[in-house]
Amino acid sequence: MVDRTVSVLTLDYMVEHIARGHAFEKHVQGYDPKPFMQGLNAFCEENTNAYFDKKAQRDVPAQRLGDNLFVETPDDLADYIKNNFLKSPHTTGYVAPENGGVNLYNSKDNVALHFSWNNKQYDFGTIYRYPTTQQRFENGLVAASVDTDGVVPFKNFDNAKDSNAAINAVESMISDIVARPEIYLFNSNNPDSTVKNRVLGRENRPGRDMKNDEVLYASHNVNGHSRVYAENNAMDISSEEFDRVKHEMAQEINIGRAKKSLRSSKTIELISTVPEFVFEHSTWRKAGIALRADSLALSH
Amino acid sequence: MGSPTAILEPQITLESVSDDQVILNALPEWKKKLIDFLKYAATTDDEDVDCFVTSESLDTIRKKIIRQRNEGGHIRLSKSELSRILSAFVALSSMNYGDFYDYPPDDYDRLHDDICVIFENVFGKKLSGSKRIKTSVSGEFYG
Repeated sequence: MVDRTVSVLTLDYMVEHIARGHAFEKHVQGYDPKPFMQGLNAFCEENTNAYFDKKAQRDVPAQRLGDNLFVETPDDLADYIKNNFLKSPHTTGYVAPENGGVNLYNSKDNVALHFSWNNKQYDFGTIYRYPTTQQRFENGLVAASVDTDGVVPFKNFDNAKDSNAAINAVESMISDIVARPEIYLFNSNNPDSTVKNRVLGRENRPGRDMKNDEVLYASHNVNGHSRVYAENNAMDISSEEFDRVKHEMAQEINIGRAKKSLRSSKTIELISTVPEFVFEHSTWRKAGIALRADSLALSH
Repeated sequence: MGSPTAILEPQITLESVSDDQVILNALPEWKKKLIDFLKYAATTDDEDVDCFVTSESLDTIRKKIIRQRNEGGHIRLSKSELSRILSAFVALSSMNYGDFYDYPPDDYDRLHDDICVIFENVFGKKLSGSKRIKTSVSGEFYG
């Protein structure tokens, strides 16, 4: 029997989650703990940071990431995934038997994209770019190709041979999830920890854990494209629209900073237990969550 | 140049392969390092790891190796389990050195290279750019 909750899953839905999930924060906004990526927009910068590795006691020079892809907003990232990456003849990929995920690599942009039903962040996968992305993808493919004990058989594909190969692979994964949701549990030892419960069960903003999303991190809900992405992808968008996106992005970052300043467990617990703060996201915004949250912290 | 303190001799080696079973040799100290690595990979905050291998798989393999404590220096794995251990190393290939608990970088490099060599020997497949331990001036792993 097809689960109605699972049946809402589509390629667009997964892309939307990836583009607004942890990957945006980590790889576009630069909250990556790796010293060579800290503060970098991996899709705009062409080289990593040079840094000193204290543990290995050596200087590590900057390394090449790839060409500037002009991705600055969640919608830029979603558009890049749907209209560039997935359709590119430079994209190859494989289905990982162990978890049924679809792992893709674009050799022109040096970008990896993973569609996963069961990743830790509950946002259906990730997209990133490191100096070692190609090697990582190739070795991941080799390791997956000999795994005969998974939930699905290994399969690899190449958009250069079939222009719809990558999209078809993701669509097949989605069809399989809908047909056999029981094999895509988060944790085979815990039937309650299914994606159905942890991701699709969220009505406010499915895909993210409430504490992680709304208290510790900024939510990436701004809609619209950046000027630089639009100009480089022949999009016809007004100046007013660019100004709106820029303004909302700045506001969202400020909200994120305010939330991150409230990391004490006492404050998190307090905010999490106040219904107004838990459920009324739009109220947070309109009333200025940063100020209200600061007031809470000050009064305790 | 490579690390001046690099551990040049393999510490985990392949003893035999039969059907689906792989038997490795390791001193207890290095068996523990492998167990700790599996725990690290299963619990790290690095969101990219479970795109390659799930924490449940790594936990299962870790517990299996722990249960083999009375088998001396032997580690018995299925071929798929070996491929999943390799997947964890692959997923963490951009890891910062300081992240693997308190182990020195040399230990991590040795573990990584030993598993890569064993994988290549068991499956007859070549991994690209797979060695972290450099013994010449020709190259060095960064990050």
